[in-house]
Amino acid sequence: MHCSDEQLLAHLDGELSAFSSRRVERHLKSCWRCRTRRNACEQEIQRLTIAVDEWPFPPPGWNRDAAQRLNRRLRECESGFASSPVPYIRRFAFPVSAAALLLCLSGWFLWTRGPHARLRPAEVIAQVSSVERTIYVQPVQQTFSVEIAEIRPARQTVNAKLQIWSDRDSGRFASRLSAPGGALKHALWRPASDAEFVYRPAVTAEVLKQRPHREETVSLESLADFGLDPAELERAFMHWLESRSWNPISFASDISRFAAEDGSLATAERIRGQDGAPMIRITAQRRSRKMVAVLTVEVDSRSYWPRLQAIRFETPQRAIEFRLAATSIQPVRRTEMAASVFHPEPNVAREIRTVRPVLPRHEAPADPSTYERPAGVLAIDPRAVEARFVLHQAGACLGESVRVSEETGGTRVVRLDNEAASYRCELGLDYLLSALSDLRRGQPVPGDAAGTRTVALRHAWAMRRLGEDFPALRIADLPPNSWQMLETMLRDHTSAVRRELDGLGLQRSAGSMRRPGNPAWRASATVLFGTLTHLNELLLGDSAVNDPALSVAAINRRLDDILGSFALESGRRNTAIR
Amino acid sequence: MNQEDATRTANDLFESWGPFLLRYAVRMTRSFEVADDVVQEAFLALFRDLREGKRIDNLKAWTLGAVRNQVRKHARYLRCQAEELESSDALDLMPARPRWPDVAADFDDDAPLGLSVLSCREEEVLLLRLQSFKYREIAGKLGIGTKSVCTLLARAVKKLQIASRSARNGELARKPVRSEVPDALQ
Repeated sequence: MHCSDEQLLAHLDGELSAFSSRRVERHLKSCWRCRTRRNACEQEIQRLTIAVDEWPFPPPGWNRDAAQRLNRRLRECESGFASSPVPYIRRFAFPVSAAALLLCLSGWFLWTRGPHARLRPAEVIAQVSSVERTIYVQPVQQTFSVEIAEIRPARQTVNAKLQIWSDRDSGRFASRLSAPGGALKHALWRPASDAEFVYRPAVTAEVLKQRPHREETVSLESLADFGLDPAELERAFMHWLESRSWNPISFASDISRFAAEDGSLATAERIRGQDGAPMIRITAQRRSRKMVAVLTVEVDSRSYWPRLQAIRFETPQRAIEFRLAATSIQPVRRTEMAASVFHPEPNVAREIRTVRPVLPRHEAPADPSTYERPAGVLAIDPRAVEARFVLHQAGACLGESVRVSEETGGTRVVRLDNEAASYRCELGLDYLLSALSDLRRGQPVPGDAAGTRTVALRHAWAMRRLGEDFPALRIADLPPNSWQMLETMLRDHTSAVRRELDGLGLQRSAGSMRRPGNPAWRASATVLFGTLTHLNELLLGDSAVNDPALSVAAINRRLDDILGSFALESGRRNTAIR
Repeated sequence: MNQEDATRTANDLFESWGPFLLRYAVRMTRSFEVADDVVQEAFLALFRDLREGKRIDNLKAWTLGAVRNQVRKHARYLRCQAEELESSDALDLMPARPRWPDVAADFDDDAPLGLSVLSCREEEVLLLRLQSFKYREIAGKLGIGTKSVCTLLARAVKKLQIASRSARNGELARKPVRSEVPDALQ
């Protein structure tokens, strides 16, 4: 294999590697042709080198002449160079500009991050949220002072103390809302994730054991759902506490839920607290046609520790503020947190009524002639029944969307997907809206699942709400048309459930109103609740009862009981009137 | 660097390196006047940078780079001028556009080297090799690979061999048509 021209030239120039060079050398020793080519190449290079050396270029005088011209130009250049500040500018341009840039950057940093920087609500909320997450990841005890201050029309204040114990990992939770004297107003206990107790002394003196649930936490704005009276606001606060899904109170999540996640609806400012400590106040406002709600959260400006949360509702006639001031928020070791705080207190929990899984037993029928409404029980306003009836007719009790509009001398409720289903009543718009809002709380949303089971469940839920909202003790004084409305609603729901059960293709027991059932409406409500819980379990398929036909028969009996007890109650009332 | 040092450095380098740069520039620009200007400008730029205290490691390579930049600038100027002339309506009346600079023939014919048979790149590489630059240095200066330098050199030597053999045999060497502006510099 002969050498290429490149190899020969590189070999001559000493640019080959030692290995390649030796190989070419060996080849050249043995190859005449390549050696001749190498020599020819060398000769050509030699000729070229001599020719270049002898090339009379540049002309003889050029070198001297050009050097003179160059020196003249160098001198000109030097004179301009000496008088011009450009070299100095060039020399110092970089350090000076770097220093200026550094100065600008530090100024910008101080302006945006320093103590006088403009606050961004979203960043403050994020900081508070981060601090709260750090605190609440461990067991924590919170103590708040609750103040409900009515500003208009009268000035009055209701005070209370709220204590919360939360151990998120083990699912334990407890809250106590007590009056200044120490009397318990409301309490929640959750010793484990499968046991929940609620104590509402205003409703019942018993501690109720309720089915474990987890609701979506609602906004603080819902405190106005019951009305703007201090007592109503307190009641709404209790509802709000029950809807918190067993979490400690978090100001950051409340304000971000109220003012949009990105804090775009909120403003932040620096203030001085009552003790002179620097604080940051985040304020968010929501305005509706009827009311303005302003939520304020105050946090420590250095540690972002939550301090105060207040929401103020204002209408042209009324103004009321609900304040939740953090007295102490302490992380507690799990071993130091007494287990007893998560259990109902013995003096309160004399009787814990368990509503599941065992169905409630029937109570003995009371003698109608001896029945009297105990003193001190508030009677239900007939308007509540009327409002519920109108909403029932429009389908709102089943979760259908309705439009409530004001018209001369009354209010009109129209079902959105069926404009023909329009109902009118003489109640005020505020009252009806309040009733609707009350009805919507915890209501299953239609359309999340299709089929018979969900339809039956919605009717079941509506009956349960009827039982809860209109207990027998409180409806005794209602006028006859209210009773008729209640009965109509109940019959609508029971017949709807029966229709759905027929749709399941299971045999049901014949005859309705066969048994008189439980005469006391409150007990009937309990029966209703137990029955429908059972129905719920059956329809969801997690019932312990294996025979669906038996269960359906049992349910039918319960439905009969409900209607029967209602009829008995109605009859007793008519007797009493006569 | 102070004025004296900078002037002395520039003058010393001009004396030893100036003639080669002039030859190189002439081969690239085909004009003695332009080449002379280009070399002067390159040394002025060197002087300025020395005075400003910039650090220059290889003065020869630096000035060669400066000359190449100047030649490229000149080529760009020529191209712009040619475009302007083409777009002018007045040119319709002119018999033919004169070649500018039309001095290439002088340097092709009186050059004893026979470099006119080479391409621009080959000639550039050869001239640098004649100044005893290593392949690696040439490659670095021209922005090409070492193997390309070797190939270009071998090709140039081959062409020159053929040209000198033809000249010896009384034949005219084939002269490649070259554009006014060197391709490698466009």
